[in-house]
Amino acid sequence: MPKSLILLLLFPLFSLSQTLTGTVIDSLGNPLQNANVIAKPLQENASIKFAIADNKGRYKLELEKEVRYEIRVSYIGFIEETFIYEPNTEIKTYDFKLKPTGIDLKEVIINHKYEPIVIKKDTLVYDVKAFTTGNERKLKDQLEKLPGVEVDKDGGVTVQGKKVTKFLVEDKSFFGGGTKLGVENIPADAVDKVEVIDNFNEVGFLKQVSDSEDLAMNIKLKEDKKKFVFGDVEAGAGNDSFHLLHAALFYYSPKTNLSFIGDINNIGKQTFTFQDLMRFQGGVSSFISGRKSLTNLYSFTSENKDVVENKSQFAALNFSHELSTKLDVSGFALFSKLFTATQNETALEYLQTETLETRTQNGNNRSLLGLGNVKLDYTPNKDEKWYYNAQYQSSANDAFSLLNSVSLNNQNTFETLREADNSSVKQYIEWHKSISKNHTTTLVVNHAFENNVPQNQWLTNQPFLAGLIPLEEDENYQIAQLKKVKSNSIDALFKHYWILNNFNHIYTNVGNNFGTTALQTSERQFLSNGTINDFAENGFGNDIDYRLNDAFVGIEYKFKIGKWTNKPGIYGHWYQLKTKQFEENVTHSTFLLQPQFNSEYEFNQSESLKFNYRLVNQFPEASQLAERFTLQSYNSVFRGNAMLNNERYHSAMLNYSKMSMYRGLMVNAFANWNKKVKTIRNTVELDGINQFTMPILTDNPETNFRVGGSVSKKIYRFNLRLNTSLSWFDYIQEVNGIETTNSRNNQNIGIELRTAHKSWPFVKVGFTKGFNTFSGITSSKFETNQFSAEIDHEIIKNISFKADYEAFTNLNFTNPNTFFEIANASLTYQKKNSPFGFEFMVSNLLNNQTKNQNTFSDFLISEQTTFILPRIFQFVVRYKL
Amino acid sequence: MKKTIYFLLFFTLTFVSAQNATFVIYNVNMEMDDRIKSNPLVRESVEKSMKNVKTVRFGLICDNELSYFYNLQTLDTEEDVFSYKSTLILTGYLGEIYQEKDTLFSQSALLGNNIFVKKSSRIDWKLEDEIKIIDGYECYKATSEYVVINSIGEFRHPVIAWYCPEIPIPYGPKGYSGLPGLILQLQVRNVTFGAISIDLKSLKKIEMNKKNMKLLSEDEYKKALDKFNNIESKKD
Repeated sequence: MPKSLILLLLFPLFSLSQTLTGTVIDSLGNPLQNANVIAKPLQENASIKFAIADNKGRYKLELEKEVRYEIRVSYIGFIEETFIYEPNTEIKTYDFKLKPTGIDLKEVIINHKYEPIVIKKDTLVYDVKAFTTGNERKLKDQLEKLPGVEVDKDGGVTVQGKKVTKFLVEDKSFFGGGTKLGVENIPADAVDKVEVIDNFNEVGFLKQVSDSEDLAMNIKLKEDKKKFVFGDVEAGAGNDSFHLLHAALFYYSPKTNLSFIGDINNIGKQTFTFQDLMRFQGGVSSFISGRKSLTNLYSFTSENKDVVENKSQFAALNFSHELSTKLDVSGFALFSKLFTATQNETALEYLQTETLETRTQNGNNRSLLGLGNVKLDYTPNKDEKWYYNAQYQSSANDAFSLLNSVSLNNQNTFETLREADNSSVKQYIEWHKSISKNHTTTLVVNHAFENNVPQNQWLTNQPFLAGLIPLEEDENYQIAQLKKVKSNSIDALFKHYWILNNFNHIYTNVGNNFGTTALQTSERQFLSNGTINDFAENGFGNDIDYRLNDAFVGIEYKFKIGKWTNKPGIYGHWYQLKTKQFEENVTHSTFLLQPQFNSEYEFNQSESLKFNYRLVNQFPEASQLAERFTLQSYNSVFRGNAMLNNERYHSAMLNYSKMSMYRGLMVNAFANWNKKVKTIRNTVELDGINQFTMPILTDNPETNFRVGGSVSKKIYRFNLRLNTSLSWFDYIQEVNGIETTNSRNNQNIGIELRTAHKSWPFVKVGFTKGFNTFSGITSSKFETNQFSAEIDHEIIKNISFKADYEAFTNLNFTNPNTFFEIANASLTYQKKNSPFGFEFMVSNLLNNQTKNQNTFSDFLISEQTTFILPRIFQFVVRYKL
Repeated sequence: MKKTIYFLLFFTLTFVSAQNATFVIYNVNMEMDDRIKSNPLVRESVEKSMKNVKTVRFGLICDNELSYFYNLQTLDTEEDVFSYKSTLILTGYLGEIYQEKDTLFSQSALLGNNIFVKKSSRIDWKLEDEIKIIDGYECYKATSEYVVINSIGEFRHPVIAWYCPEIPIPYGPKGYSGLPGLILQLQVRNVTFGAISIDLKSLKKIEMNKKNMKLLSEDEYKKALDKFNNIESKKD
């Protein structure tokens, strides 16, 4: 039914108004319902009035007195009519009779380029002077004095209960954008104003699932204080000369940012935090192909306490500079020196021969790493974008290990020395351009060069690998191995996106991946009488030139039917593999079609089901093709196979996710299925503990199936989470000429409960149960129980307590169970406004000596005991610059 | 006899109203903001969205009773759904919006698919006398403010609508309504919606089933978000 009949004036000033009524009808006398009657004043200082005709075509306009109006009625499909209303006339009614245009309009298409008007944003500005005393040291101390602003102990800022999610200084991201670093470090005397900017939108888009009040805070600096240095220095000392020195120093100026991190410690602590890493690496490009990945700095962000000694020295410098509004340059350099000593004991069971071996290994490793990286980011205009990144890396590793192997009728002790010098240069360039509304292109070119020269030496007093290596009898045996690996690759990819219409897209990909590897290996025995026994005479020593070229073209068609999106694609790859070994050339070219299919059904915005399928062909690496023998370790010899060809497998994935924030529920489930139809797998000849392996290509199927998922639900003020991951792996393994079907299954099921309330201490407890089985010629199984707990709480003002605990049990059905538990705790005292902070921490509180782990590999079961760092008490003093 | 007439009358009326639906398609434009430009993380997302937004379309169906604004599920070039969703959110689209008389029912897809916030559709429009021609259609300007009330204070963002009196439909994108004519262009901060086609005799029907909706008042909605923030802000 028609709704409200007449919409009245916006500012009814009845005493000053006069009313005009009438009807709007067509030439046949039919009322034109909903016709808009607009009265436009023909003078300044009066506003537009309007009325909407009701179902009988009646309208009622309230007009201001003393104002002349132009009253107009327009109605699509009719010729508009205008009537000039003179003030102070006696006219109280007027009827509009519209003549049709004669064109029956059904659909109106509007061609118009809608241009927005530039709008200035609104901000809330605090003039810091007005709220502070001038005795504050850091921005944090000032913020706490601003009405409604709070800073928590982790450096998070809330403005009347709402979290600040972006932190800017002088309108620019401050060393990566987190609040903690800025708030705790910016010197108070440099701060002029604090602006609180509501976010772009009422829903934060970075976190997707965010609050309605995503906030940004921008710090305005005083004119004369726009450059400053800040940072943290930390020193700790503990029992048994355990120590820690850490410095994080920053230089800020509006155009240039520098940061330095220096760290020396021997407690296995990570030198880099994840935030540091993000700051150093910057945004990672969105077109990462397998080869393009740069150096993995993640290893610096994880601690390593599963060693008996860990001495680390680390220094890194990062800079970013805005050359112009269109060009940014950033880069970093880092240097690391690391010494680790490890101790392991391993019990191994060789399945086929039922041989048992006990291995004790003591080792140490020295590594030196130097790395430099430069990145340019150029935006010439809003339709074009360029990135360039170059990286140089050089490293040297020296390792020594002493290994004692005991098996039924054999006992042998080996000293192994390993030296490796590696260097690499990697660079890529990316260009993105939007040509028109419907055409976008991307070009990526990537180049990498790597040179690795590892050298190994084995020293022992007893012969080993009898029958597999041509040892000459001696009182002591010394075998040296030299490897040289040089590889070069150039990859290029061109992508074109063609938007046909709202529901159909076509993407074209053309590219070429070209890679070469030169691999040389040689083994020699140095006899005590000074002569050299070169293994080359017995089929050892490789020299292979390998080149693989993959030229491809692919087309993907993306279309949408209702809530269902599909993207079938087909790629044609022309692979050419050439190897040259001792004047023997093997060339293999093949054209392969690789279909793929992606599909997604979106039930609604928070529930979806996805399916992906791909057929993949994978070519062997140079080392797998090198067809002469290579010594791999004290008990294994490897020989490549020049006749190898590509592996082929089907890969499919199904994914379901559902999220309901209102109910605090999240559900995720997945199933992955991989099936190899052409498989490269090593055949193994086992003799006692000695192994000879060689890869062969077979049609034996290998199936890997994984399903899993998690459900998390908020219940009252707790969050309960269930996790599961189940995997099955079936493969055919040839050992000593006998093919057996093996299967390895791992199942993990976990439950976790944590508090989810702001004012409560943070407590988390979890339990995970694991089931592992192996079955083949023999079968074996073990189970694991893992219990973990964590607490974080400010006990009294300025003092907070943190602790974590983990207990791990390996349940063996043949050997006794093993158990270990690890606990860490710390007590921190940090007085507000004070540059000093103190922490007393204990790592490995229970002084546990070892960790145990059981694993299955293709033909053996191992049970490893790793010795770890002992209990460390440490007292740490921090000072904030 | 009388009953039959009533029945016939009723029948014809409903028939007519079913025939009279109007279906409008809007495109979206998004502008960069100086403040965003300077934050590389945010900038990247907005840049992506500015690219993605070109394919985003919204639909508006109106009949005599109801109006319904929703995202027309079009394709995007991005590989991951996440970025398409964040683009939608960047346009200010949080879910579909129904209007029944003076009441808006806005879906909060964030909280759940069946969660709708019920609020008044009333907007204090200021009618300006500026006129512009959009592809031959004379449009008048009306302005208002989009108010975000945080605990920090009130943030007011300008809203600019260009409505076309000739098209007798008092609706527009995102629940903006109450003007004497269809809103052809609507700008809320940096996001502009523009009508690209209008089907005056659409056979589309609006299906609004309140039974399947969990209705929240504005207060309840705020509380639900707060509750949710509590979990999120504690530990990540």
